[in-house]
Amino acid sequence: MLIKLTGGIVYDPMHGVNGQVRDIYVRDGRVVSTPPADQRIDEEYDLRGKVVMAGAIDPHSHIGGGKVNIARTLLPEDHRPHPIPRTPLTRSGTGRAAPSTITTGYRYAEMGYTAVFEPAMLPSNSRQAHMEMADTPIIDKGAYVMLGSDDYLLRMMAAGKTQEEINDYIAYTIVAAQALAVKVVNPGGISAFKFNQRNLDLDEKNSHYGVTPRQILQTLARGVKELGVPHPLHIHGCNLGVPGNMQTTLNTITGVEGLPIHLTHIQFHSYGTEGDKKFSSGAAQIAEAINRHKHVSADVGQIMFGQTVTASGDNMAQFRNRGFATPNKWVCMDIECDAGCGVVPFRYRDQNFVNALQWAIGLEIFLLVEDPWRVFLTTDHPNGAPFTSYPHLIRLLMDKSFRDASFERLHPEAQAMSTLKSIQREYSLYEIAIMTRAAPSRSLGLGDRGHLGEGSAGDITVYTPHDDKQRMFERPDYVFKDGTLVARNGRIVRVTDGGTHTLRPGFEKSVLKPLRAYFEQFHTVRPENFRVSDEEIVNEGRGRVIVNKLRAGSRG
Amino acid sequence: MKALTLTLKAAPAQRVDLAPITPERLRGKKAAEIGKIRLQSGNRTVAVAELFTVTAGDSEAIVIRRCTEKFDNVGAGMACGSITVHGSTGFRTGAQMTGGTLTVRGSTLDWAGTGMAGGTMVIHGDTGRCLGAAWPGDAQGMRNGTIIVCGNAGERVGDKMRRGAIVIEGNAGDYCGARMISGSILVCGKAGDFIGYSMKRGSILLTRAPRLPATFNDCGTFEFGFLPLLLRSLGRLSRRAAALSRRAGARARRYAGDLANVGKGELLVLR
Amino acid sequence: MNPATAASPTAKSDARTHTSVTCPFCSLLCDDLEIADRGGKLTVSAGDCARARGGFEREYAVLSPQADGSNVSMEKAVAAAAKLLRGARHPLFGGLGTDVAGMRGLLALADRTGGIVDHMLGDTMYRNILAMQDRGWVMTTMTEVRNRADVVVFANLDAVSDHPRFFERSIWNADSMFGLPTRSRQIVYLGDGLNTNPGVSPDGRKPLHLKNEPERLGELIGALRALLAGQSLQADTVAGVKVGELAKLLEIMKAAKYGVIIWSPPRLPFASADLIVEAMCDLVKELNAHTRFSGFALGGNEGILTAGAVCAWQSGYQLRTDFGTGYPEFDPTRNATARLLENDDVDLLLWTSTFLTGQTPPRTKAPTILLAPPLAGLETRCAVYIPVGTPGVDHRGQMCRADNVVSLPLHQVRESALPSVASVCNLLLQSL
Repeated sequence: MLIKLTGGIVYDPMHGVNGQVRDIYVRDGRVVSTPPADQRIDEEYDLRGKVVMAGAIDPHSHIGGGKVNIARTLLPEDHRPHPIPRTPLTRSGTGRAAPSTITTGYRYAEMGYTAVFEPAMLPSNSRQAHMEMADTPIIDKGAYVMLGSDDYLLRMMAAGKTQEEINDYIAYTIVAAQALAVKVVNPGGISAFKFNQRNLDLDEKNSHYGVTPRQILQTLARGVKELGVPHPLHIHGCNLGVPGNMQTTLNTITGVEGLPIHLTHIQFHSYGTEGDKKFSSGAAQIAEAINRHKHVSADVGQIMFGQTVTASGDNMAQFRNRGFATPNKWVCMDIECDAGCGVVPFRYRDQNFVNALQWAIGLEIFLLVEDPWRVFLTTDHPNGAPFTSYPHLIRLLMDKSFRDASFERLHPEAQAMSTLKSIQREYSLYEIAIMTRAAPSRSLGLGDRGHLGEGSAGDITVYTPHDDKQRMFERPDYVFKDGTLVARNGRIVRVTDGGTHTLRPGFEKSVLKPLRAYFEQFHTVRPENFRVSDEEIVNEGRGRVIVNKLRAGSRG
Repeated sequence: MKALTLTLKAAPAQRVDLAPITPERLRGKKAAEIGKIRLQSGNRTVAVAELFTVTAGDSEAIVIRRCTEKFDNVGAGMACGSITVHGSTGFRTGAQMTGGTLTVRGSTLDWAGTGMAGGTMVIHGDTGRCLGAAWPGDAQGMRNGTIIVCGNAGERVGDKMRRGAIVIEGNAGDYCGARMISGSILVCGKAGDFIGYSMKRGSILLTRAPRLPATFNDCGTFEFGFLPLLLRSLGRLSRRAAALSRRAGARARRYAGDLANVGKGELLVLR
Repeated sequence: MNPATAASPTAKSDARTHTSVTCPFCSLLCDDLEIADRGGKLTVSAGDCARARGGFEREYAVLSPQADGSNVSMEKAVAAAAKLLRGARHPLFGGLGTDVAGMRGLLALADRTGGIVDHMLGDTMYRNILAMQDRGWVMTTMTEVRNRADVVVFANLDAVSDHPRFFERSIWNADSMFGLPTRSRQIVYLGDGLNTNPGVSPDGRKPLHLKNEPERLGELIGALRALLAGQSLQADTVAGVKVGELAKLLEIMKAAKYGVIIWSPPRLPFASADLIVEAMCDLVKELNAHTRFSGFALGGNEGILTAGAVCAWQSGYQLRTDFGTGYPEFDPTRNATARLLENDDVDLLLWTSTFLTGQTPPRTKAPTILLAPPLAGLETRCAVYIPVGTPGVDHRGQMCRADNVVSLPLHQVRESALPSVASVCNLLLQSL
């Protein structure tokens, strides 16, 4: 089956293609070079005047796993007003902030996204995360396994185990949980909360293990690098949401001795304490630090106004913020000597000083970080806002007048505390393509995704250019997944099943003996049942395991 | 002009959702048009005309005859005018009402008046559980309006009620006034166990001493200025309340609670 | 895999022993079992418990698919069931005693046919769900209890009646990680008629047992909350317990380093028991202002947690969901199995039950399609009967555990030609 996409305006930053008119050929789900002239074209799409990009990639969206299902169960009022009727082709569903999984797959595909990654998969919850992602149709998926507050790691560090021994444990956990990368949430803090510590700063000791978050960050970041995991350690730092936490973030950037790191939803970690309300924007300093330190990348975690629900592994921070729950109900869990989770419904208001400034801080970071390859477009769905708000966010980044008009509706004192109106920059389509396709693909090591080069997967999205960038990005004309047309004018036309991206770092078999002893002595599950098998992901042919390559020069 | 009347002619097999049948939703529609309206029933929709004979009339005053418990959402979300039902109704009768008067000359099932925000509902027979209560996931129960039940009510009358008034002329089930945020409930008959369970504020008026929960403390007997006013206003809609208004003065014995939860609510046992 | 007649497992002489087998017969999902398979006859040789033996060692009769009481081929049975499903105006998919894949199949059918889904133990689950939807909760999981809990309060349950190995696996386990000698745990029972022997610690220390009237547990918890908030109660006894004793219990709970209060929805068989669960959840939240305290719900069995979890992520609601309008609508009162059948609100019942109980569907005038293992003495006089395998015995699968966070793989421990619920649902979907 040979498809020809004719005359589109192509943006493919991985290959430096910036808005050039080109034809693209796709055979059996792969982009191929121009075939000989006599080659029969099975399907041709006239894309003249249209914008063509690879399928978008969301590197941080809570779409699958225990805490997301808790959020769904907690909020029938998020589902009742948003019913999605069944059609002959698509299943029914509900929800906006915490939508059902089947609806999540359709909505991402309709918006031109072809890969989405769950950033906080607890090892003990990895089976449920993969089960939920298996019921998220069309898009590719994958997950980052959470380490840093798990008792096994903290026991190893307290016992002074070597970096190699810890690397083997990290590798074992990635393989057992079928993960693509490693996430750390409030390093050591989730464990500290179980010992009744209510805060844990970067250099403060976990009361039981005597280990500090900085040491955990260094150990995990070095392990991830030495194992050749393409994506740097995905860090949800200490003191989330605490005014003045920008200093913790700056210390984290300088405190990992140049090891590559990725700071996630950095907006929630960029707060100062100036002003009479003791809450101010640290975006300028944070952006300057990212510009200076090339080993650092970040996703913003932009907030949007309205009702949503925050779901995070950081039970310490979520318990601390329980008073802000709107409506007044929340869930907090300690999980399997592994980590925890917290679900707090939240309403962001533009007339609330803090929320208004949070909104501005996120946009300041987007606009002050100069290298679009090291800043990713996320709202930490659903914590900052549902993922369906991405087109609106793109418009804010690409259209200064629209941005300033929105800014003027904010709480007046928040406006006074923000430099957003003084920033002239408007993102170009090329920069948007970098931030939402090429950069996440390169950072996650997805190889054949996020670009349109020869041999890449046929994940392609086509837009009609429009002044209103929200309208342009809201309903793409065509969305291809692995060379199959899955959405037309923002509506699903074909339902397929995406693959699950994983990694297979090597580890010494010697790691298994102490692990088995730990499981049998202290745990309630056995290692062979803890591990998620390939069979479970293939799920009688409905799923596909994609094993991505490790970075060169690492023990495969 | 006489009322628009729907008379049941064929008992439905599955439950039927009567939400479309309210004065503001039928305003300006002729009988034939009303007959074509589709009602959800099981996994299909049924035309009104298939179930009811529709006789033309003023849609501000709707009459439904030979109604049964299979009909849910009767008067749900009504904002004005009146609906009078001869026979019983099913679940969520008068749910989310914002105005108008709904009269049921029979009994209703559970969740009558859930999330009510205004208007008046009078149930001549009995009603099920969760009268005027908060629907699962909602932060509050009824926010305003008045409900009169001439018969008995099931459990959890006024569960998480925010404001408004409920009169139960007969008996009320257990957990009457559970988790009340505010508002008033008058129970002329007997109230069940666990009365005022975990209530924050609000007043539950009783005619006889209830089984007192352990987390309510006795404050003694006082004169309450507002009591005669409240009873007189409820008396305009409820005969039993009117009788009480004449007989009971302003004195009542007060029990404060629920101490497990803020504890600013009160049980008032009228003399 | 659709044999003309239900095949008895093929006889094989040698015995194969399977280790680290997951037991699907209660929500603890113990996975340290050893099962010996002698030509299809199974014996539990390790990780023994009455429920596990009841499930693994039960005998199958040779039952063929049936339509209107007479044996038919699988194709005919599926065709008959599909015909009923096509004609139904409001089908109920009840029982739901199955694994994740089975629940996916049943939900796909319910979505396609505009039906209602509810579990056989739906009433028990809603004592938890309604409380959680109203206030949320602070919960923990089994491994945390096993390693951290120094005070454990059992509210109206003794755990061993429904979850035989709970004490062995999470209370009196030999070792724990944080220097807490597990035998020093303080066990407290609330309620009456409980088997409190397992609560006696290995060194003979008796548990604290406040014998309150079980149905007034909510009032007792309310009193604890009032005392914790510094209120003074005029009452001198609450639910049959002296207020002084409650004050002592409260001190124990406040002094705990990591306290846990455990309840089991099936063991709160009272109307509006969700208000009791909510009171316990509020008490736990308020105790967390002083120390670390968690709730733990020993959920119902027969796969109810799996059914609820899959329904929640696929539809947005935990069961009692009606797809009649073409999209999921949630109504915990109207969509309850017993009420629907009593009032003939549904005109077809597809009943699934593959674990220990509930294989006989409830009496109803509506025609019934039954998916259940071919157990000896199974009541199959219904419109259509299709024999299916037991997950974790006759075929692989996945299930969610009591603490709603951990899920485990189920293994196939013997040769079996019986189809899974999921494969039958796929056949039905293709015939609709």
